[in-house]
Amino acid sequence: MNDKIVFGQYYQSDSWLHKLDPRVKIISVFSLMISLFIIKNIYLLLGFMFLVLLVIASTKIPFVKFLNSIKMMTFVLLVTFVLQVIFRRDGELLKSFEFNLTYMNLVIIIVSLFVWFLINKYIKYFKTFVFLVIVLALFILQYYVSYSPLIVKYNINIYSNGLIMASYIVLRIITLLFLSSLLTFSTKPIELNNGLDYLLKPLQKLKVKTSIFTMMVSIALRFIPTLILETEKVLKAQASRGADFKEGKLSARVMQIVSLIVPMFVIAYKRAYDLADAMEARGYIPEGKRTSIYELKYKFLDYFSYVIVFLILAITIFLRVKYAL
Amino acid sequence: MSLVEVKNVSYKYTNRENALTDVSFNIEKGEFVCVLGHNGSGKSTLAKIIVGLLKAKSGEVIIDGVTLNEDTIDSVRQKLGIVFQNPDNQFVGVTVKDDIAFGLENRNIERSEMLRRIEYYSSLVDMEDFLDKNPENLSGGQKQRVAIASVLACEGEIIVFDEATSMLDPKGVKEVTNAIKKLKGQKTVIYITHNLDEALFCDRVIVLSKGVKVLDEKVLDAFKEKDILKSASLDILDSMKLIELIEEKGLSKGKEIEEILWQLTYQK
Ligand SMILES: Nc1ncnc2c1ncn2[C@@H]1O[C@H](COP(=O)(O)OP(=O)(O)OP(=O)(O)O)[C@@H](O)[C@H]1O
Ligand SMILES: [Mg+2]
Repeated sequence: MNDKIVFGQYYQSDSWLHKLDPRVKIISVFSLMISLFIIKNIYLLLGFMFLVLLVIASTKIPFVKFLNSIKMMTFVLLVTFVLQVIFRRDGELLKSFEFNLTYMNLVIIIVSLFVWFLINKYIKYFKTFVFLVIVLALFILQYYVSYSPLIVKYNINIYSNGLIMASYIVLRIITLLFLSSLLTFSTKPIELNNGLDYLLKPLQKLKVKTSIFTMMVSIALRFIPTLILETEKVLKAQASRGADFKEGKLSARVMQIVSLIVPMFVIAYKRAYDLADAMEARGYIPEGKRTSIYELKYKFLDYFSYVIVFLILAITIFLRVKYAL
Repeated sequence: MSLVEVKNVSYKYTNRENALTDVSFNIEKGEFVCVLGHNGSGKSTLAKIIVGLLKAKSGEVIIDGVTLNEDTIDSVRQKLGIVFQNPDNQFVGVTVKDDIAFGLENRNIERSEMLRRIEYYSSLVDMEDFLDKNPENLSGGQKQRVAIASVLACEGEIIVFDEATSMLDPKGVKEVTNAIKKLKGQKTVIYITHNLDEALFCDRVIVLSKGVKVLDEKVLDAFKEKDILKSASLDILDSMKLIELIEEKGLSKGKEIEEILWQLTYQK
Protein backbone atom coordinates (compact mmCIF):
# COMPACT_ATOMS: atom_id res chain seq x y z
CA MET A 1 0.00 0.00 0.00
CA ASN A 2 0.91 3.62 -0.01
CA ASP A 3 3.15 4.61 2.84
CA LYS A 4 4.43 7.84 1.37
CA ILE A 5 1.81 9.85 3.13
CA VAL A 6 3.14 10.92 6.47
CA PHE A 7 0.79 13.38 7.97
CA GLY A 8 2.24 16.19 10.01
CA GLN A 9 5.93 16.83 10.46
CA TYR A 10 6.70 14.10 12.95
CA TYR A 11 10.23 12.76 12.76
CA GLN A 12 10.66 9.21 14.06
CA SER A 13 13.39 8.91 16.65
CA ASP A 14 13.91 7.72 20.21
CA SER A 15 15.43 10.85 21.71
CA TRP A 16 14.60 12.05 25.21
CA LEU A 17 12.39 14.73 23.71
CA HIS A 18 10.31 12.13 21.90
CA LYS A 19 9.79 10.29 25.16
CA LEU A 20 8.69 13.36 27.05
CA ASP A 21 5.03 13.54 28.03
CA PRO A 22 3.10 15.55 25.39
CA ARG A 23 1.57 17.70 28.09
CA VAL A 24 5.04 18.72 29.25
CA LYS A 25 6.04 19.57 25.70
CA ILE A 26 2.95 21.65 25.03
CA ILE A 27 3.23 23.61 28.26
CA SER A 28 7.00 24.00 27.91
CA VAL A 29 6.85 25.34 24.39
CA PHE A 30 4.11 27.70 25.45
CA SER A 31 6.03 28.92 28.45
CA LEU A 32 9.29 29.26 26.50
CA MET A 33 7.49 31.34 23.91
CA ILE A 34 6.35 33.66 26.65
CA SER A 35 9.94 33.89 27.90
CA LEU A 36 11.05 34.65 24.38
CA PHE A 37 8.67 37.57 24.13
CA ILE A 38 9.68 38.92 27.51
CA ILE A 39 13.37 39.08 26.58
CA LYS A 40 14.32 42.54 25.31
CA ASN A 41 18.07 42.38 25.23
CA ILE A 42 19.71 40.96 22.11
CA TYR A 43 22.54 39.27 24.03
CA LEU A 44 20.04 37.57 26.30
CA LEU A 45 18.14 36.54 23.21
CA LEU A 46 21.32 35.07 21.74
CA GLY A 47 21.81 33.12 24.97
CA PHE A 48 18.24 31.85 24.79
CA MET A 49 18.71 30.86 21.17
CA PHE A 50 21.88 29.03 22.11
CA LEU A 51 19.90 26.99 24.65
CA VAL A 52 17.31 26.13 22.01
CA LEU A 53 20.08 25.07 19.64
CA LEU A 54 21.53 22.87 22.39
CA VAL A 55 18.14 21.15 22.76
CA ILE A 56 17.93 20.70 19.00
CA ALA A 57 21.39 19.18 18.93
CA SER A 58 20.46 16.72 21.65
CA THR A 59 17.39 15.34 19.86
CA LYS A 60 18.88 13.50 16.85
CA ILE A 61 16.47 15.37 14.58
CA PRO A 62 18.53 16.56 11.59
CA PHE A 63 19.16 20.30 11.72
CA VAL A 64 18.23 20.55 8.04
CA LYS A 65 14.62 19.90 9.00
CA PHE A 66 14.67 22.96 11.22
CA LEU A 67 16.28 25.02 8.48
CA ASN A 68 13.54 23.86 6.14
CA SER A 69 10.93 25.14 8.51
CA ILE A 70 12.53 28.59 8.32
CA LYS A 71 12.94 28.36 4.58
CA MET A 72 9.29 29.06 3.97
CA MET A 73 9.69 32.22 5.98
CA THR A 74 12.91 33.50 4.37
CA PHE A 75 11.13 36.11 2.32
CA VAL A 76 9.18 37.49 5.25
CA LEU A 77 12.28 37.44 7.42
CA LEU A 78 14.32 39.30 4.83
CA VAL A 79 11.68 41.90 4.20
CA THR A 80 11.31 42.46 7.96
CA PHE A 81 15.05 42.78 8.29
CA VAL A 82 15.44 45.22 5.41
CA LEU A 83 12.51 47.39 6.50
CA GLN A 84 13.85 47.58 10.04
CA VAL A 85 17.33 48.50 8.80
CA ILE A 86 16.05 51.16 6.45
CA PHE A 87 13.47 52.84 8.63
CA ARG A 88 15.01 52.85 12.13
CA ARG A 89 16.68 56.18 12.61
CA ASP A 90 18.34 56.03 16.02
CA GLY A 91 21.78 55.15 17.33
CA GLU A 92 24.83 56.24 15.38
CA LEU A 93 24.94 56.45 11.63
CA LEU A 94 27.03 53.60 10.31
CA LYS A 95 26.85 54.13 6.59
CA SER A 96 24.92 56.10 4.03
CA PHE A 97 24.32 54.96 0.47
CA GLU A 98 23.36 57.34 -2.29
CA PHE A 99 21.22 56.01 -5.14
CA ASN A 100 20.45 57.66 -8.46
CA LEU A 101 17.15 56.85 -10.07
CA THR A 102 17.63 57.87 -13.70
CA TYR A 103 15.24 57.40 -16.65
CA MET A 104 17.52 54.73 -18.00
CA ASN A 105 17.56 52.91 -14.66
CA LEU A 106 13.81 53.19 -14.31
CA VAL A 107 13.33 51.54 -17.70
CA ILE A 108 15.74 48.76 -16.75
CA ILE A 109 13.91 48.21 -13.44
CA ILE A 110 10.50 48.03 -15.08
CA VAL A 111 11.70 45.71 -17.83
CA SER A 112 13.46 43.34 -15.43
CA LEU A 113 10.44 43.12 -13.12
CA PHE A 114 8.20 42.52 -16.11
CA VAL A 115 10.47 39.75 -17.35
CA TRP A 116 10.49 38.28 -13.84
CA PHE A 117 6.71 38.06 -13.80
CA LEU A 118 6.74 36.34 -17.16
CA ILE A 119 9.36 33.76 -16.40
CA ASN A 120 9.04 33.11 -12.66
CA LYS A 121 6.65 30.22 -13.04
CA TYR A 122 9.30 28.26 -14.92
CA ILE A 123 11.82 28.56 -12.12
CA LYS A 124 11.62 25.49 -9.94
CA TYR A 125 14.27 25.99 -7.28
CA PHE A 126 15.51 28.93 -5.23
CA LYS A 127 12.80 31.18 -6.57
CA THR A 128 12.93 33.62 -3.67
CA PHE A 129 16.69 33.65 -3.87
CA VAL A 130 16.72 34.47 -7.57
CA PHE A 131 14.24 37.27 -6.98
CA LEU A 132 16.38 38.74 -4.21
CA VAL A 133 19.48 38.62 -6.42
CA ILE A 134 17.58 40.54 -9.07
CA VAL A 135 16.42 43.16 -6.56
CA LEU A 136 19.94 43.51 -5.22
CA ALA A 137 21.32 43.87 -8.74
CA LEU A 138 18.82 46.66 -9.43
CA PHE A 139 20.03 48.59 -6.39
CA ILE A 140 23.67 48.08 -7.31
CA LEU A 141 22.79 49.44 -10.71
CA GLN A 142 21.37 52.59 -9.15
CA TYR A 143 24.37 52.95 -6.87
CA TYR A 144 27.02 52.84 -9.58
CA VAL A 145 25.34 53.94 -12.77
CA SER A 146 24.17 57.51 -13.09
CA TYR A 147 24.20 58.38 -16.81
CA SER A 148 21.10 59.65 -18.62
CA PRO A 149 18.87 62.35 -17.05
CA LEU A 150 18.29 62.01 -13.33
CA ILE A 151 14.78 61.68 -11.89
CA VAL A 152 15.62 61.67 -8.23
CA LYS A 153 18.51 61.10 -5.86
CA TYR A 154 17.81 59.27 -2.60
CA ASN A 155 19.74 57.99 0.40
CA ILE A 156 19.51 54.86 2.46
CA ASN A 157 21.07 55.35 5.88
CA ILE A 158 22.00 52.51 8.12
CA TYR A 159 22.02 53.20 11.84
CA SER A 160 23.45 51.00 14.56
CA ASN A 161 20.14 50.55 16.38
CA GLY A 162 18.36 49.70 13.16
CA LEU A 163 20.80 46.89 12.60
CA ILE A 164 20.46 45.62 16.17
CA MET A 165 16.68 45.87 16.18
CA ALA A 166 16.42 44.11 12.83
CA SER A 167 18.65 41.26 14.02
CA TYR A 168 16.69 41.07 17.25
CA ILE A 169 13.35 40.68 15.49
CA VAL A 170 14.61 38.19 12.94
CA LEU A 171 16.37 36.10 15.60
CA ARG A 172 13.24 36.12 17.69
CA ILE A 173 11.09 34.83 14.83
CA ILE A 174 13.67 32.16 14.02
CA THR A 175 13.79 31.01 17.64
CA LEU A 176 10.01 30.93 17.70
CA LEU A 177 9.95 28.72 14.62
CA PHE A 178 12.58 26.44 16.14
CA LEU A 179 10.55 26.08 19.31
CA SER A 180 7.33 25.17 17.56
CA SER A 181 9.22 22.81 15.23
CA LEU A 182 10.73 21.07 18.25
CA LEU A 183 7.21 20.30 19.38
CA THR A 184 5.83 19.13 16.04
CA PHE A 185 8.92 17.15 15.02
CA SER A 186 9.04 15.20 18.25
CA THR A 187 5.33 14.63 18.88
CA LYS A 188 2.84 12.72 16.75
CA PRO A 189 -0.33 14.71 16.02
CA ILE A 190 -2.38 12.16 17.90
CA GLU A 191 -0.11 12.46 20.95
CA LEU A 192 -0.48 16.22 20.82
CA ASN A 193 -4.21 15.74 20.75
CA ASN A 194 -4.13 13.39 23.72
CA GLY A 195 -1.99 15.84 25.63
CA LEU A 196 -4.49 18.59 24.85
CA ASP A 197 -7.30 16.29 25.90
CA TYR A 198 -5.75 15.98 29.35
CA LEU A 199 -4.78 19.63 29.62
CA LEU A 200 -8.22 20.89 28.66
CA LYS A 201 -10.05 18.56 31.04
CA PRO A 202 -10.42 21.17 33.81
CA LEU A 203 -12.46 23.24 31.34
CA GLN A 204 -15.12 20.52 31.36
CA LYS A 205 -16.06 21.69 34.86
CA LEU A 206 -17.11 24.94 33.18
CA LYS A 207 -19.29 22.90 30.80
CA VAL A 208 -16.97 23.41 27.83
CA LYS A 209 -17.17 20.31 25.62
CA THR A 210 -13.44 19.77 25.28
CA SER A 211 -13.74 16.00 24.80
CA ILE A 212 -15.91 16.49 21.74
CA PHE A 213 -13.36 18.92 20.38
CA THR A 214 -10.43 16.53 20.87
CA MET A 215 -12.47 13.64 19.44
CA MET A 216 -13.11 15.76 16.35
CA VAL A 217 -9.42 16.47 16.02
CA SER A 218 -8.53 12.81 16.34
CA ILE A 219 -11.12 11.84 13.72
CA ALA A 220 -9.72 14.53 11.44
CA LEU A 221 -6.21 13.18 11.99
CA ARG A 222 -7.47 9.72 11.16
CA PHE A 223 -9.18 10.76 7.93
CA ILE A 224 -6.91 13.39 6.42
CA PRO A 225 -4.49 10.80 4.96
CA THR A 226 -7.40 8.73 3.68
CA LEU A 227 -8.98 11.74 2.02
CA ILE A 228 -5.64 12.66 0.45
CA LEU A 229 -5.42 9.16 -1.04
CA GLU A 230 -8.98 9.49 -2.22
CA THR A 231 -8.26 12.86 -3.83
CA GLU A 232 -5.32 11.36 -5.67
CA LYS A 233 -7.58 8.62 -6.99
CA VAL A 234 -10.18 11.08 -8.22
CA LEU A 235 -7.43 13.22 -9.78
CA LYS A 236 -6.04 10.22 -11.61
CA ALA A 237 -9.49 9.11 -12.71
CA GLN A 238 -10.18 12.55 -14.13
CA ALA A 239 -6.74 12.91 -15.68
CA SER A 240 -7.36 9.61 -17.46
CA ARG A 241 -10.50 11.17 -18.91
CA GLY A 242 -8.47 14.06 -20.20
CA ALA A 243 -8.79 16.62 -17.43
CA ASP A 244 -5.74 18.83 -17.07
CA PHE A 245 -5.44 20.83 -13.90
CA LYS A 246 -2.36 22.78 -14.88
CA GLU A 247 -3.03 24.16 -18.33
CA GLY A 248 -5.89 25.76 -20.11
CA LYS A 249 -8.03 28.82 -19.69
CA LEU A 250 -9.06 29.99 -16.27
CA SER A 251 -12.70 29.08 -16.79
CA ALA A 252 -11.78 25.57 -17.90
CA ARG A 253 -9.54 25.17 -14.89
CA VAL A 254 -12.24 26.35 -12.53
CA MET A 255 -14.60 23.78 -14.04
CA GLN A 256 -12.01 21.09 -13.51
CA ILE A 257 -11.53 22.02 -9.89
CA VAL A 258 -15.29 21.93 -9.40
CA SER A 259 -15.30 18.49 -10.98
CA LEU A 260 -12.76 17.48 -8.34
CA ILE A 261 -14.52 19.09 -5.39
CA VAL A 262 -17.94 17.64 -6.08
CA PRO A 263 -16.96 13.95 -5.94
CA MET A 264 -14.66 14.63 -2.99
CA PHE A 265 -17.52 16.23 -1.15
CA VAL A 266 -19.83 13.32 -1.87
CA ILE A 267 -17.17 10.83 -0.76
CA ALA A 268 -16.48 12.73 2.45
CA TYR A 269 -20.17 13.02 3.19
CA LYS A 270 -20.80 9.31 2.72
CA ARG A 271 -17.79 8.57 4.86
CA ALA A 272 -18.94 10.84 7.66
CA TYR A 273 -22.36 9.20 7.58
CA ASP A 274 -20.90 5.68 7.78
CA LEU A 275 -18.42 6.71 10.42
CA ALA A 276 -21.14 8.18 12.61
CA ASP A 277 -22.94 4.82 12.42
CA ALA A 278 -19.76 2.90 13.23
CA MET A 279 -19.01 5.13 16.21
CA GLU A 280 -22.53 4.95 17.54
CA ALA A 281 -22.69 1.17 17.12
CA ARG A 282 -19.52 0.88 19.17
CA GLY A 283 -21.11 2.75 22.01
CA TYR A 284 -19.82 6.28 21.55
CA ILE A 285 -21.96 8.79 23.42
CA PRO A 286 -20.79 12.32 22.53
CA GLU A 287 -20.76 13.84 25.97
CA GLY A 288 -20.40 10.60 27.85
CA LYS A 289 -17.60 9.64 30.18
CA ARG A 290 -14.88 7.52 28.59
CA THR A 291 -11.67 5.95 29.73
CA SER A 292 -8.54 6.28 27.61
CA ILE A 293 -6.05 3.78 26.24
CA TYR A 294 -3.41 6.48 26.47
CA GLU A 295 -2.16 6.75 29.94
CA LEU A 296 -0.21 9.90 30.57
CA LYS A 297 2.00 9.64 33.62
CA TYR A 298 4.67 12.12 34.56
CA LYS A 299 8.12 10.64 35.00
CA PHE A 300 11.26 12.12 36.50
CA LEU A 301 12.37 13.74 33.25
CA ASP A 302 8.97 15.35 32.86
CA TYR A 303 9.13 17.00 36.28
CA PHE A 304 12.72 18.00 35.63
CA SER A 305 11.74 19.68 32.34
CA TYR A 306 8.94 21.57 34.03
CA VAL A 307 11.40 22.87 36.64
CA ILE A 308 13.92 24.02 34.02
CA VAL A 309 11.32 25.66 31.84
CA PHE A 310 9.65 27.52 34.68
CA LEU A 311 13.06 28.55 35.99
CA ILE A 312 13.82 30.08 32.61
CA LEU A 313 10.49 31.89 32.65
CA ALA A 314 11.14 33.18 36.17
CA ILE A 315 14.64 34.38 35.28
CA THR A 316 13.49 36.22 32.16
CA ILE A 317 10.68 37.89 34.07
CA PHE A 318 13.09 38.85 36.86
CA LEU A 319 15.66 40.31 34.45
CA ARG A 320 13.00 42.23 32.62
CA VAL A 321 11.44 43.71 35.73
CA LYS A 322 14.64 44.43 37.58
CA TYR A 323 17.05 45.39 34.83
CA ALA A 324 14.71 45.99 31.88
CA LEU A 325 16.70 43.48 29.82
CA MET B 1 -37.48 -16.67 24.71
CA SER B 2 -35.10 -16.18 21.82
CA LEU B 3 -32.00 -14.03 22.01
CA VAL B 4 -33.09 -11.88 19.08
CA GLU B 5 -36.74 -11.35 18.27
CA VAL B 6 -37.72 -9.28 15.25
CA LYS B 7 -41.46 -8.68 15.30
CA ASN B 8 -43.39 -7.26 12.32
CA VAL B 9 -40.71 -4.71 11.55
CA SER B 10 -41.34 -2.19 8.77
CA TYR B 11 -39.15 0.69 7.70
CA LYS B 12 -39.43 3.46 5.17
CA TYR B 13 -36.89 6.12 4.20
CA THR B 14 -38.40 9.50 3.39
CA ASN B 15 -40.20 9.67 0.03
CA ARG B 16 -39.64 6.06 -0.89
CA GLU B 17 -41.47 2.81 -0.88
CA ASN B 18 -40.99 0.56 2.12
CA ALA B 19 -37.41 -0.61 2.55
CA LEU B 20 -38.72 -3.32 4.90
CA THR B 21 -42.25 -4.64 5.16
CA ASP B 22 -43.51 -6.66 8.11
CA VAL B 23 -40.38 -8.72 8.71
CA SER B 24 -40.44 -11.20 11.60
CA PHE B 25 -38.07 -13.91 12.80
CA ASN B 26 -36.37 -15.20 15.92
CA ILE B 27 -32.73 -16.10 16.40
CA GLU B 28 -31.60 -18.43 19.15
CA LYS B 29 -28.44 -18.06 21.16
CA GLY B 30 -25.44 -19.50 19.30
CA GLU B 31 -27.16 -19.60 15.92
CA PHE B 32 -25.32 -18.63 12.75
CA VAL B 33 -27.91 -17.04 10.48
CA CYS B 34 -27.36 -15.84 6.94
CA VAL B 35 -29.50 -13.01 5.60
CA LEU B 36 -29.48 -13.18 1.81
CA GLY B 37 -30.80 -10.60 -0.57
CA HIS B 38 -30.18 -8.79 -3.81
CA ASN B 39 -28.96 -5.15 -3.92
CA GLY B 40 -31.50 -2.84 -2.33
CA SER B 41 -33.50 -5.66 -0.77
CA GLY B 42 -33.27 -4.04 2.65
CA LYS B 43 -30.48 -6.05 4.27
CA SER B 44 -28.52 -3.08 5.59
CA THR B 45 -31.69 -1.44 6.79
CA LEU B 46 -32.54 -4.59 8.74
CA ALA B 47 -29.02 -4.74 10.19
CA LYS B 48 -29.18 -1.13 11.34
CA ILE B 49 -32.56 -1.71 12.94
CA ILE B 50 -31.31 -4.77 14.82
CA VAL B 51 -28.31 -2.91 16.25
CA GLY B 52 -30.42 0.14 17.06
CA LEU B 53 -28.96 2.60 14.55
CA LEU B 54 -32.38 3.04 12.96
CA LYS B 55 -35.71 2.87 14.69
CA ALA B 56 -38.36 0.68 13.09
CA LYS B 57 -41.38 2.66 11.84
CA SER B 58 -43.58 -0.11 13.16
CA GLY B 59 -42.95 -3.40 14.91
CA GLU B 60 -40.25 -4.04 17.49
CA VAL B 61 -36.88 -5.64 18.10
CA ILE B 62 -36.33 -7.49 21.35
CA ILE B 63 -32.79 -8.37 22.38
CA ASP B 64 -32.46 -10.83 25.25
CA GLY B 65 -35.91 -9.88 26.51
CA VAL B 66 -35.41 -6.10 26.28
CA THR B 67 -37.29 -4.09 23.67
CA LEU B 68 -35.03 -1.63 21.81
CA ASN B 69 -35.91 2.02 22.30
CA GLU B 70 -34.17 5.28 23.19
CA ASP B 71 -34.02 4.43 26.88
CA THR B 72 -32.75 0.88 26.55
CA ILE B 73 -30.39 1.23 23.59
CA ASP B 74 -27.31 2.36 25.53
CA SER B 75 -27.39 -0.70 27.76
CA VAL B 76 -28.54 -3.20 25.11
CA ARG B 77 -25.73 -2.04 22.85
CA GLN B 78 -23.28 -3.84 25.15
CA LYS B 79 -24.62 -7.08 23.68
CA LEU B 80 -24.50 -6.00 20.04
CA GLY B 81 -21.72 -5.50 17.57
CA ILE B 82 -21.70 -4.82 13.83
CA VAL B 83 -19.07 -4.99 11.12
CA PHE B 84 -19.92 -2.89 8.08
CA GLN B 85 -19.08 -3.24 4.42
CA ASN B 86 -16.57 -0.45 3.89
CA PRO B 87 -13.24 -1.16 5.61
CA ASP B 88 -12.19 2.49 5.68
CA ASN B 89 -15.35 4.06 6.98
CA GLN B 90 -15.47 2.10 10.21
CA PHE B 91 -11.86 2.50 11.22
CA VAL B 92 -12.10 5.12 13.95
CA GLY B 93 -8.66 4.99 15.54
CA VAL B 94 -5.44 6.42 14.19
CA THR B 95 -3.75 3.04 14.74
CA VAL B 96 -4.99 -0.56 14.98
CA LYS B 97 -4.57 -0.45 18.74
CA ASP B 98 -6.56 2.79 19.02
CA ASP B 99 -9.30 1.36 16.89
CA ILE B 100 -9.76 -1.75 19.01
CA ALA B 101 -9.62 0.44 22.10
CA PHE B 102 -12.31 2.82 20.85
CA GLY B 103 -15.32 0.67 21.83
CA LEU B 104 -13.66 -0.23 25.13
CA GLU B 105 -13.02 3.41 25.99
CA ASN B 106 -16.69 4.11 25.36
CA ARG B 107 -17.61 1.34 27.76
CA ASN B 108 -15.35 2.82 30.45
CA ILE B 109 -13.19 -0.27 30.67
CA GLU B 110 -10.00 0.04 32.67
CA ARG B 111 -6.73 0.45 30.85
CA SER B 112 -5.13 -2.80 32.02
CA GLU B 113 -8.18 -4.74 30.89
CA MET B 114 -8.16 -2.88 27.55
CA LEU B 115 -4.57 -3.87 26.96
CA ARG B 116 -5.35 -7.49 27.77
CA ARG B 117 -8.31 -7.60 25.40
CA ILE B 118 -6.42 -5.81 22.63
CA GLU B 119 -3.67 -8.38 22.82
CA TYR B 120 -6.07 -11.31 22.98
CA TYR B 121 -8.49 -10.31 20.25
CA SER B 122 -5.89 -8.95 17.86
CA SER B 123 -4.14 -12.32 17.92
CA LEU B 124 -7.48 -14.05 17.41
CA VAL B 125 -7.74 -12.35 14.00
CA ASP B 126 -3.97 -12.58 13.37
CA MET B 127 -3.39 -8.83 13.58
CA GLU B 128 -1.18 -8.80 16.67
CA ASP B 129 1.86 -7.67 14.71
CA PHE B 130 0.10 -4.61 13.31
CA LEU B 131 -1.03 -2.89 16.49
CA ASP B 132 0.89 0.33 15.82
CA LYS B 133 0.11 0.52 12.11
CA ASN B 134 -2.08 3.23 10.58
CA PRO B 135 -5.06 2.25 8.44
CA GLU B 136 -3.41 3.70 5.31
CA ASN B 137 -0.81 0.99 5.56
CA LEU B 138 -3.25 -1.91 5.87
CA SER B 139 -5.03 -3.93 3.20
CA GLY B 140 -8.82 -4.05 3.08
CA GLY B 141 -8.84 -7.56 4.53
CA GLN B 142 -6.59 -6.48 7.38
CA LYS B 143 -8.81 -3.51 8.14
CA GLN B 144 -11.89 -5.74 8.23
CA ARG B 145 -10.12 -8.13 10.61
CA VAL B 146 -9.36 -5.16 12.85
CA ALA B 147 -13.05 -4.26 12.70
CA ILE B 148 -13.87 -7.82 13.79
CA ALA B 149 -11.38 -7.62 16.65
CA SER B 150 -12.86 -4.28 17.69
CA VAL B 151 -16.32 -5.81 17.89
CA LEU B 152 -15.13 -8.98 19.62
CA ALA B 153 -13.19 -6.96 22.19
CA CYS B 154 -16.47 -5.50 23.40
CA GLU B 155 -17.52 -9.07 24.20
CA GLY B 156 -21.15 -8.74 23.11
CA GLU B 157 -23.12 -11.88 22.34
CA ILE B 158 -24.55 -10.89 19.00
CA ILE B 159 -22.51 -9.87 15.99
CA VAL B 160 -23.91 -8.64 12.70
CA PHE B 161 -21.77 -8.72 9.55
CA ASP B 162 -23.20 -6.49 6.84
CA GLU B 163 -21.51 -7.64 3.61
CA ALA B 164 -18.23 -7.48 5.46
CA THR B 165 -16.32 -9.11 2.60
CA SER B 166 -17.95 -7.55 -0.45
CA MET B 167 -15.32 -4.84 -0.96
CA LEU B 168 -12.32 -7.14 -0.59
CA ASP B 169 -10.09 -8.96 -3.03
CA PRO B 170 -10.22 -12.80 -3.00
CA LYS B 171 -7.33 -13.02 -0.54
CA GLY B 172 -9.00 -10.56 1.81
CA VAL B 173 -12.30 -12.45 1.54
CA LYS B 174 -10.57 -15.63 2.58
CA GLU B 175 -8.79 -14.03 5.55
CA VAL B 176 -11.96 -12.42 6.81
CA THR B 177 -14.23 -15.44 6.35
CA ASN B 178 -11.69 -17.56 8.19
CA ALA B 179 -11.82 -15.16 11.10
CA ILE B 180 -15.62 -15.21 11.03
CA LYS B 181 -15.82 -19.00 10.89
CA LYS B 182 -13.90 -19.14 14.17
CA LEU B 183 -16.91 -17.56 15.85
CA LYS B 184 -19.13 -20.55 15.16
CA GLY B 185 -20.52 -21.85 18.42
CA GLN B 186 -19.03 -18.89 20.36
CA LYS B 187 -21.28 -16.06 19.25
CA THR B 188 -24.69 -15.50 17.78
CA VAL B 189 -24.01 -14.30 14.25
CA ILE B 190 -26.17 -12.57 11.66
CA TYR B 191 -24.23 -12.81 8.45
CA ILE B 192 -25.54 -10.57 5.67
CA THR B 193 -24.53 -11.22 2.08
CA HIS B 194 -25.80 -11.30 -1.49
CA ASN B 195 -23.58 -14.21 -2.28
CA LEU B 196 -25.15 -17.64 -2.03
CA ASP B 197 -21.78 -19.36 -1.62
CA GLU B 198 -21.26 -17.64 1.68
CA ALA B 199 -24.54 -18.97 3.04
CA LEU B 200 -22.97 -22.43 3.04
CA PHE B 201 -21.18 -22.02 6.34
CA CYS B 202 -24.28 -20.74 8.14
CA ASP B 203 -26.93 -22.79 9.97
CA ARG B 204 -29.97 -21.06 8.63
CA VAL B 205 -30.88 -18.78 5.73
CA ILE B 206 -33.31 -15.88 5.68
CA VAL B 207 -33.97 -14.44 2.22
CA LEU B 208 -35.16 -10.88 1.70
CA SER B 209 -36.66 -9.66 -1.53
CA LYS B 210 -37.79 -6.04 -1.92
CA GLY B 211 -37.98 -5.68 1.83
CA VAL B 212 -40.09 -8.78 2.41
CA LYS B 213 -38.93 -12.00 4.02
CA VAL B 214 -39.54 -14.69 1.40
CA LEU B 215 -37.69 -17.64 2.89
CA ASP B 216 -36.50 -18.80 6.29
CA GLU B 217 -35.07 -22.32 6.31
CA LYS B 218 -32.20 -24.47 7.53
CA VAL B 219 -29.38 -24.02 5.07
CA LEU B 220 -29.69 -27.29 3.14
CA ASP B 221 -33.45 -26.96 2.82
CA ALA B 222 -33.07 -23.39 1.66
CA PHE B 223 -30.95 -24.44 -1.31
CA LYS B 224 -33.77 -26.66 -2.51
CA GLU B 225 -36.04 -23.64 -2.92
CA LYS B 226 -34.54 -22.70 -6.25
CA ASP B 227 -37.57 -20.83 -7.48
CA ILE B 228 -37.70 -18.58 -4.46
CA LEU B 229 -33.97 -17.91 -4.65
CA LYS B 230 -34.25 -17.07 -8.33
CA SER B 231 -37.24 -14.84 -7.84
CA ALA B 232 -35.22 -12.95 -5.23
CA SER B 233 -32.69 -12.36 -8.07
CA LEU B 234 -30.01 -14.41 -6.36
CA ASP B 235 -27.42 -16.21 -8.43
CA ILE B 236 -27.87 -19.84 -7.57
CA LEU B 237 -24.75 -21.94 -7.14
CA ASP B 238 -23.09 -23.66 -10.11
CA SER B 239 -23.50 -27.00 -8.44
CA MET B 240 -27.22 -26.35 -8.15
CA LYS B 241 -27.43 -25.36 -11.80
CA LEU B 242 -25.65 -28.54 -12.68
CA ILE B 243 -28.06 -30.68 -10.68
CA GLU B 244 -30.93 -28.81 -12.27
CA LEU B 245 -29.63 -29.51 -15.77
CA ILE B 246 -28.90 -33.12 -15.03
CA GLU B 247 -32.45 -33.58 -13.79
CA GLU B 248 -33.90 -31.67 -16.71
CA LYS B 249 -32.03 -33.52 -19.44
CA GLY B 250 -31.84 -36.86 -17.74
CA LEU B 251 -28.14 -37.03 -18.45
CA SER B 252 -26.20 -40.02 -17.35
CA LYS B 253 -22.88 -40.13 -19.12
CA GLY B 254 -19.75 -38.42 -17.83
CA LYS B 255 -19.01 -36.81 -21.19
CA GLU B 256 -22.32 -34.98 -21.39
CA ILE B 257 -21.95 -33.74 -17.83
CA GLU B 258 -18.49 -32.46 -18.66
CA GLU B 259 -19.88 -30.53 -21.59
CA ILE B 260 -22.50 -28.88 -19.42
CA LEU B 261 -19.80 -27.98 -16.90
CA TRP B 262 -17.81 -26.26 -19.65
CA GLN B 263 -20.87 -24.36 -20.73
CA LEU B 264 -21.49 -23.16 -17.21
CA THR B 265 -17.91 -21.95 -16.78
CA TYR B 266 -18.10 -20.29 -20.14
CA GLN B 267 -21.29 -18.43 -19.23
CA LYS B 268 -19.59 -17.06 -16.15
N1 LIG C 1 -30.14 6.61 3.68
C1 LIG C 1 -31.09 6.26 2.80
N2 LIG C 1 -31.98 7.17 2.37
C2 LIG C 1 -32.94 6.86 1.51
N3 LIG C 1 -33.11 5.63 1.00
C3 LIG C 1 -32.28 4.66 1.37
C4 LIG C 1 -31.20 4.93 2.29
N4 LIG C 1 -30.51 3.79 2.49
C5 LIG C 1 -31.11 2.86 1.72
N5 LIG C 1 -32.17 3.35 1.06
C6 LIG C 1 -33.06 2.62 0.15
O1 LIG C 1 -33.69 1.59 0.88
C7 LIG C 1 -33.71 0.39 0.16
C8 LIG C 1 -33.02 -0.71 0.94
O2 LIG C 1 -31.66 -0.36 1.09
P1 LIG C 1 -30.59 -1.23 1.87
O3 LIG C 1 -29.36 -0.41 1.95
O4 LIG C 1 -31.19 -1.70 3.14
O5 LIG C 1 -30.39 -2.44 0.87
P2 LIG C 1 -29.28 -3.57 0.88
O6 LIG C 1 -29.98 -4.85 0.76
O7 LIG C 1 -28.38 -3.39 2.02
O8 LIG C 1 -28.51 -3.29 -0.47
P3 LIG C 1 -26.98 -3.43 -0.82
O9 LIG C 1 -26.76 -4.83 -1.27
O10 LIG C 1 -26.80 -2.47 -1.95
O11 LIG C 1 -26.20 -3.07 0.38
C9 LIG C 1 -33.06 0.68 -1.16
O12 LIG C 1 -34.08 0.90 -2.12
C10 LIG C 1 -32.27 1.94 -0.93
O13 LIG C 1 -32.21 2.72 -2.09
MG1 LIG D 1 -26.25 -2.99 2.28
